[in-house]
Amino acid sequence: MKNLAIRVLVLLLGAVFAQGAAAQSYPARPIRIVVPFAAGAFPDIVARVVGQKMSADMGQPIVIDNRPGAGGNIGTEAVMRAAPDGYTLLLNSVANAIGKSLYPNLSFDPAKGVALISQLTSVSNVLVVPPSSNISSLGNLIDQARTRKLKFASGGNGTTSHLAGELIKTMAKVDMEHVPYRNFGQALTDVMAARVDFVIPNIPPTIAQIQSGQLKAIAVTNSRRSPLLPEIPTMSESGLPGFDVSSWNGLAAPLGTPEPIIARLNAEVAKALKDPEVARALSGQGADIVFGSPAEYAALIDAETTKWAAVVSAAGAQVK
Amino acid sequence: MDVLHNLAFGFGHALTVENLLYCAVGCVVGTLVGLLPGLGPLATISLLLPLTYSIPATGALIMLAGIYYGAQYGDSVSAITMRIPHASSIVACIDGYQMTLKGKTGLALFTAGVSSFIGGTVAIVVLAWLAPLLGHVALLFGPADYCALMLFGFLCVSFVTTGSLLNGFSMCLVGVLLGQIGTDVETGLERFTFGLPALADGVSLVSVALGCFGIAEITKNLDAKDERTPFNGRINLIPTWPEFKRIIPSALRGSVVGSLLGIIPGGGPVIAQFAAYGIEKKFSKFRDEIGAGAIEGVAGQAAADEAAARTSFIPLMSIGIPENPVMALMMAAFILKGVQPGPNMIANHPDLFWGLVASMWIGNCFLLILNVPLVRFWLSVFKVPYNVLFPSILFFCCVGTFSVNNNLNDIMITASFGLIGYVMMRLELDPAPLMLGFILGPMLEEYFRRAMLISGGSLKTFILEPISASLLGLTALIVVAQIVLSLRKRPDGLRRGMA
Amino acid sequence: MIRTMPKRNIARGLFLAAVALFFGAKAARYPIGNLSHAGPGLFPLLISGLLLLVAVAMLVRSRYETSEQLYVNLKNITLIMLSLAGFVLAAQLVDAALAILVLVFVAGFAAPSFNWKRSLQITAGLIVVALALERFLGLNLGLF
Repeated sequence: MKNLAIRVLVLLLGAVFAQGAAAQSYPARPIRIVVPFAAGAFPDIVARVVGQKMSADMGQPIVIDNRPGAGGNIGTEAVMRAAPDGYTLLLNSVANAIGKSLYPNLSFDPAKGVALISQLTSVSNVLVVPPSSNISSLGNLIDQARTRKLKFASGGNGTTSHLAGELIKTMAKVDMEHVPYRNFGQALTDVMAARVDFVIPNIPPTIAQIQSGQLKAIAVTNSRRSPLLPEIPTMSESGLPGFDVSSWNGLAAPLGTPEPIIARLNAEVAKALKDPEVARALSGQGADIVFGSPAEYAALIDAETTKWAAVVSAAGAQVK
Repeated sequence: MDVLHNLAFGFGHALTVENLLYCAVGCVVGTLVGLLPGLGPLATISLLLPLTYSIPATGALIMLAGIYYGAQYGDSVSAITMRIPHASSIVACIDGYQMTLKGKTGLALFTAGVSSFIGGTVAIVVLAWLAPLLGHVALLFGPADYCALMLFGFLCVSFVTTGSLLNGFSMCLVGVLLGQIGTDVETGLERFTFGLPALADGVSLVSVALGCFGIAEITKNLDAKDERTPFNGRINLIPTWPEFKRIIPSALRGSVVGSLLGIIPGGGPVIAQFAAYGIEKKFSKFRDEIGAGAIEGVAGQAAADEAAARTSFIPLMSIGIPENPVMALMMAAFILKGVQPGPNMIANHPDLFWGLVASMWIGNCFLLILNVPLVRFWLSVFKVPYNVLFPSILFFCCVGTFSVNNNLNDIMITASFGLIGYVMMRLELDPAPLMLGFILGPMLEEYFRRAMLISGGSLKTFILEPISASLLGLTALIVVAQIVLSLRKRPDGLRRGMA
Repeated sequence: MIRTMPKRNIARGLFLAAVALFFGAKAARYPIGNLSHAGPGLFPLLISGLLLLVAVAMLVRSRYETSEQLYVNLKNITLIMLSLAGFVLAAQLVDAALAILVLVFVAGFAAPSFNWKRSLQITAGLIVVALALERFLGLNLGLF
C-alpha cells in the first residue's frame, strides 16, 4: 500500500513541476521499448542494436519488451495506454500503417495514435526464386504469369511479402496464387526446394541464402538499389515503374509525451544512428539507416497508410 | 578424420577459461529456469540477450546454447515431481509422475539426467559428422510430406493414452479443436477468438499445458483427502544395477528418434518426446509397464528431448533457416554478434561452429555432474508442506504464462484451461492426448491446405511425393496391424465392447 | 461441499458433445471453400463432427455400463480460479506485489486449514523471488 501512496505523490509532484524540469532530469529510470513482434524478428534486432547505443549514451538501461500478437496491434495498444512520460516507447513499423486497413474493426488507429520520434531504418524486400527457376527477370516473370498461374509464398496474410505480391498483380494486371506461411523460415524452404515460384521477403532473413546461391534474387522492391545487392535491379527499373515497397520502422511514444522529451529522444536517436557500430550492424543486414524529424516520419506514415489501404482493399486481405 | 581434427580445433576454442565459464553459467541458468514451471528457454534467452552484448561472439553463443539445452533437463524435474510440464516435457508427466506417486522420484530424476546425457552425446556426434549434409533434409519435406508426417504422429495417441482408447481419441479431437483458436494462416480470418486480441494468435502451448496439467493437478490434490498424492510416498534415491541397465537401450532409441526429428523443421523437442514415448511403448522389453511408472517411459523421452534440442541447430547453421521460435531467437543472437548463420557459416566462422559443437559436449558433462548430485536437493521439495507449496506453484504458473508474451491477460487464458483441465480430470479424461492433438492438429490443417493450394486441389500429390506416400503407407499398415492384433488378442473383450 | 452429480460416463459424453457443438456451430458460419482453396470452416467442422460422433457413441454405451458418480468439489476450483483472476486484476490496477498477496490469500482458503501468518510468510517469500526474477532475469513483472 505504501508504494501506491508514493506513486500518487510522484504523480502529483510531476504535475506541479514544469515539463522542462522533467526533461532535464530525464531519464531518471530505465526506459522500456515495446517491440510488438517476437524476439529475434528483424524489428527486434533494430530495437536492440539502437537501444544498446542509446542506453550507453543516456546512462540508463533500455529494456526490450517483446509483445507479439495480432500483427503488432497488441504491443502497439499497450504503448498507447501507457503513461506518456517517455519511459515507455514503441518500435513501430510498416505493420502499423497496414494495420488500420487490415483490421477494419480495430478500436484504435495503430499508425496515428502515437507520438512519433524518428524513423530508424528502411529495409527493402527482394523478389527471390529457386536457383533452378527459369524466371530470369521481372519482365520474364510477368510474361510467364500470363501463360500459367504462378504461385508466390509469403510470411503471412497482410505482411509486406504478401502485399508486394498483390501489388504486382494489380500493377501488371496478372493473376497469381498466394500461398501464405506462418513464418519466413517455412516459406523460404519451399521456395529453395522450388515448390512455389517465388517469394518477396525482407532482405535480412534472405541475405545468407542469396549470397550462397541457394536463392536467386531477381529484383529489389525499394525505389533505390540495395548497397548489399548492387547488381540487382529495382522493380521500378525492370518493368513496373513506381513500384516501391519497403519495410521501415521507427521509434514512437504514447500520445501526450512532453515535447522536450520527444526532442531529446530524437537527438539521441540521431546520435545512435551515426555510431559506426550501429551502422555496421544494421547495414550488414541490408537495412538503410534513415533519420528524420517527427514531422518527416509522420509524412511517411501518412503516405504509407494511404498506399497500403488501396493495396489491402484490392487484395481483399481484410481480417474480419 | 577431418571431423576429429575439427573437433580438436573446436575443443581448443571451447576449453579456454572464459568459454568454460560461459558454458557453465549457461547450463546453470538453463537448469534453474527449466525448473520453474512455464518459464522456458525462449523467454529466458530473450531476457538474457542483453547480457551477452559485451561478451565475445563464441562465448555469448556458447552461453545462450547452454541455456537452451540446460533447460531441457530442468524441464523434466517439475514434470516428474509436480506434474507441471513445459512444452518439451509433457510426456514426462505420464510415467515420471507415476514414478513419483510410487515413491520413486529419485530414480525418475536420475533416469532423466542420465538419459539426457546420452541423448545429448548422440546428437553431438550427429551434429559434428553430418551437420553440413543434413541441412538439406529440411528441403526434402514439402507440405504433402509434412501432412503425412503429422498424420503418422497421430498414431501416438494410442500410446500416450492411459485409459480407454476412445477417451484418448476424443481428447485428441478436443485438442485439435483448441488448436484452431486464432488467426487462420491461409485467409487471415480470426476463428473462435470471441474478438479478444489475446486470442488472435491462438492459445499458447504453455497456457494449455500449465492449465490442464499444473492447475488441474493442484486443485485435485487440494480436493483429495483419501486419494494418493505425491506427498505421502517414500523416497528412494540410488538406482540398483538392473534398474540402471534398463535406462541404456531406451535412452539410445530415444536419442536416435530425437536426433532425426530435431533436424526436420517444425519438429524439435516438442514432437520428439511423443515419438520416443510411442517407440518405447511399442518396442521396449518392458512395454507393458509403461504408463504406470516405468523407467523406459522416462528415459526415452528425456533422451529424445535433449537430442532434438541440439540437432535443431542443424538447419540454422547449415542452411540458415530457423526451425522453431527458439532457433529464430538464436539466429538473432548470431546476427547481433555479426555472424550470419547460413550455408557459409561453417567455412567463414569455423572457430565459432566447432567451438559451439565442442562446448555442447562439455556442457553435457557439466549438466551430468550438476544434476545427479542435485537430485537429492530437488527431492527436498517434498519436505515443504503442500499448503506452502501450492500457492508458490500457482505463482510460478502465472510468471511462466506471463513470460511468453509479457501479457497479463494470458494468465486468464491459463486459468480457463485450469478449469477445463479440472473438469476433464474429474471426467477421467486424459490430458496427454489432448496436448498431442493441440500440437499436431493445427500443423496437419495448415500443411494439408497448403499442399492442396500448391497442387491445385489434387489429392494425388500425397501419393506422387515419395516421402508422403511411404509415410501414409506406413500409417495405414500400423492401423491395420493394430486392428488385426486386437481382434486376435481379445475376442471376448471386443464382443463385450460391441454388446 | 460434495454435490450429487450425474454418472461420470454420462457427464463425459455430454461434455464432449457440448465441446463439439460449440465449435461446430461457430465453424459452420465460416466459409467451407473447395479442395484447392479449403476455407477456414472445413477442418473444424470435420473435427467437431467426428467428436460429436464419438460423444454420441459414449452416451449410447453409457446406457449399458455402470459408472461411478461424478465428484466435483466446487469450493476449491472456484477459489483457485478467483485467486488467478485476482492476481491479474491486482497486477493491472495496482502492482505485482499486491497481486501476489491476493493470489496467496485467496488460494489459501482452499487449503485444509487457513492460516494468516503462514500466508503472509509465503507472500513475503514470493515477493523476494519475484524481485530476484525481475533483477536477474529482467522479467518485467511490475512489482512496485
